[in-house]
Amino acid sequence: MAAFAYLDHNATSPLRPVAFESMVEVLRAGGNPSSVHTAGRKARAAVETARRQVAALVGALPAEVVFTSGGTEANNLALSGAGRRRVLVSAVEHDSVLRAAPAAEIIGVDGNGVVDLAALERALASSADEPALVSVMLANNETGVLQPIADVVRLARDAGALVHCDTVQAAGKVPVEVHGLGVDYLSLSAHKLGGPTGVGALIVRTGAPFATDRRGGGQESNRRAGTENVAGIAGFGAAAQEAAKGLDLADWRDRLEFSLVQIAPRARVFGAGAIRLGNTSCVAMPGVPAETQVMAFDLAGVCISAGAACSSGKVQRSAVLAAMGVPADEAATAIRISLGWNTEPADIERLITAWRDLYIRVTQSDISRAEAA
Amino acid sequence: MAYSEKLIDHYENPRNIGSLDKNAEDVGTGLVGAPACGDVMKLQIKVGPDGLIEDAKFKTFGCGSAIASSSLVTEWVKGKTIDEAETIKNTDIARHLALPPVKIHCSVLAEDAIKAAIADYRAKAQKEEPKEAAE
Amino acid sequence: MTAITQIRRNDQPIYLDYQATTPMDPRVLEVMMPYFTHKFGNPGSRSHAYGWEAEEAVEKARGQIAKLIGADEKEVIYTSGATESNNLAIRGVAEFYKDRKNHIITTVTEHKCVLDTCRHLEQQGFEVTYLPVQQNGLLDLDVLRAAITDKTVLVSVMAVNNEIGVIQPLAEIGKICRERKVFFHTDAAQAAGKIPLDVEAMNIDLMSISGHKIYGPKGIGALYVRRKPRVRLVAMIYGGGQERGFRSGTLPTPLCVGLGEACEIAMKEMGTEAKHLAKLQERMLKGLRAKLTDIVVNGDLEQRIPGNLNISFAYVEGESLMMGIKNLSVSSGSACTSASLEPSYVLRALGVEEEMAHTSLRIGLGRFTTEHEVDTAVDELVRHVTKLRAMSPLWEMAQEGIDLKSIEWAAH
Repeated sequence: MAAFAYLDHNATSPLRPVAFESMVEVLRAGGNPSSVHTAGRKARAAVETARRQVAALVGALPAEVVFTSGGTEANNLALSGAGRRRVLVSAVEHDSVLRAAPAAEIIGVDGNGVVDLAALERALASSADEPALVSVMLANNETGVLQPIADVVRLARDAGALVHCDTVQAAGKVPVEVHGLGVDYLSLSAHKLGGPTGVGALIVRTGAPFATDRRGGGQESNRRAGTENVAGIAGFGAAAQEAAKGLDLADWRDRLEFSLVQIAPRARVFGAGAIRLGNTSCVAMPGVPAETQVMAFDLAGVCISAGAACSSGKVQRSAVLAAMGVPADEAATAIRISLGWNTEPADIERLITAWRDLYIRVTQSDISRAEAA
Repeated sequence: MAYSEKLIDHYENPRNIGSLDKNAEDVGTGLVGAPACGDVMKLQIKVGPDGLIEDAKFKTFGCGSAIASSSLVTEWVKGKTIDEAETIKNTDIARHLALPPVKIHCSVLAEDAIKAAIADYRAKAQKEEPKEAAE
Repeated sequence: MTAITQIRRNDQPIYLDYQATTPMDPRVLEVMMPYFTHKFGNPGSRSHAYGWEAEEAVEKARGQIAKLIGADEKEVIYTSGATESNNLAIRGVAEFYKDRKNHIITTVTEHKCVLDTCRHLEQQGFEVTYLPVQQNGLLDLDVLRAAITDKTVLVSVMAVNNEIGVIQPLAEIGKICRERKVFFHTDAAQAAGKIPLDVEAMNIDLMSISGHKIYGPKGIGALYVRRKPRVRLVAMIYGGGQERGFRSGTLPTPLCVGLGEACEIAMKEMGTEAKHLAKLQERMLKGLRAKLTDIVVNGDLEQRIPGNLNISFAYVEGESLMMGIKNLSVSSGSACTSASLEPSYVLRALGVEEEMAHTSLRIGLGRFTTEHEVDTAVDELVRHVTKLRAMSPLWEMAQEGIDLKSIEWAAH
């Protein structure tokens, strides 16, 4: 058995071996893709192969792919690049969207975390003379809940608005098709789908307005300056090709949730009433602070998280759960379990065992405390 | 940038490099382009008594495409009358060498060079004629 | 150096373009490897061992970077590369202080990402002064002094030029800036690890560093931001609040580790490496001058990193020369603009005439360059320059004693 059961793929997913191999090859070869000599041309070829692979993952044209340093930069680039002063975002977007557009109007979500389409329609109609940018994620990083992007796009189009979709968590887990969704901008991150950290992409639909925010040597067809992270991009391409085969983890996840609720009958699974990614489970063990759970799991060799990874350490209430109307005390007991490409049944068994041990321990101590009182 | 085999062949094994006596009556010289623009072509033709171009030479300061374009033109004009040589079009040169779009100006320069050489030859010949008439 | 065989196979061209990018040092790659595979955690994950391990590695590397430039590790933030560092430093400062000061000073020979950022700021209403450089490529300090006004917030001058390798007088510039209470940013992408840098002694407030110019990986860079006296920035990338809020986004652990290791190696080996390169630089120049006349080195030869030569081979057009020397990977200017046919703006700023600028090559020597490679390069260059001069009408005229300037060239 592995030293740890790593069930925190939504924070970062281990690098897939195919990605690693293609990166090592490129790292050894070197070369700046802008140089015209042999080394440069080889590096260029690696970047362009990856561009086709990433494009294929989301049904885009290779020319629509702009490589970035990650999902955060892709989201920032989309929000500034669209050039719309009025921005509408859902309440459960990632911080990289919310903070990149601090003046954005927030559209609420229902109890399952699904964006309120009626509210979106009203907001779009309220100032039809100023066309907006709507940014709604495909899948939420904390709950895995999927948003009705096709409906968002339909409403946006009627109002002359552009649409950005953050698919950082969705790509490679559910089929993503940029032209099928009809969005103008789509963000991707490599390390969430088994590629390396430090690379991502923004898909800019042909014909969508785009003014870059990153000036310099004119790389990425003047859309994002800076010497390309060639090895990272090659790894991203290889991982994207592999991830395009999809992940079918819903059965395991459902079994996992069933077991957790069986052990702790008052446990609650967030977003359970909505369509979700098959790999993510956001669940609360009643009465036990998330931090306590995370520590107990860590001691038992199970890696999970208490929320989004980002700059955490800071323990703060999940904005996603708050937007879903989850009371603060209950949200404080929520943990995120996220499966990935190398998850095995043994990892899930280990998590269930750890959950059972912890639950028994805390309930017994509750009982003993109650008896002593 | 990928170059065609023909272009690389002309760059690596340029035909007819050299100079003819520019003061000779049967030699026409064309010098086109400018150093500041990165291309200068000197193209010379020697016209035989039968009116056919019997020799052509070039020297070029410029990129590989410019060198190949001028080399190709010297090959083409040999054995032609000056009227025939004058019909060579830059598009023919560009097509033959499969020049990339950014290099089309090299073929334009080569066409200019041959035209200038012909004009120089004709100017000399015209000066000759009155002399002959006087004799 | 034993690593050479790992860098270049015999059937590959000789790499002489170290200012475009450097091969990774195998030692750097080695320390990065585990962070791609089993140590893959997100340094932002504070809830498990994978995250802690990654965070520790990222922080160790931050210390290595800081040490190279005499900074405190708290003053170093990771970016995706020098382009982002330069964008962030210049725009970040300009926007933060715009209510009080709106004037920026830079030079005409900066990297394109600095110039483009400045041009953008001009469109936003900022005032930018682009200082000329002297014929040797160096900034005249009196010109700088005269340009600073009460409204000046930032002076951005690169440490080492990417095309001609000249080293700007950083300590003097820093002193002037500190006296006049103006922030000093330097783009040290080409300088870090090549020449000694000390942000304290040189009064540098912001410094951009690139991974792939110092034998580290691409896709990673750093920005030094002084804490005392404090420099404040408006961030460009918002999100999870990583890097003290200056730069959000998951840190790429293996790349951070690689940059750190590259800095550590550079720090240890800078002295011996500079000597090695100076020898090679001299060998190349001597070799060329022994067999070729009419060659000119662009930029100051003394105030210059030893890993760079920028040479005009008069009467031979640079692109045709590059096409000939197939076994050498060199460039005719900066890599960014490799595909464009415009002569270098850096050379023009030095007053190099356009016809000479068209004949220039940038030759970059580096850690893995050998004497044998230099000799081979000299032979190849001599052979092709000679061949191309034999077919150059300009060379012919010059030999005949014709002054090329006396000719009226037909512009086309």
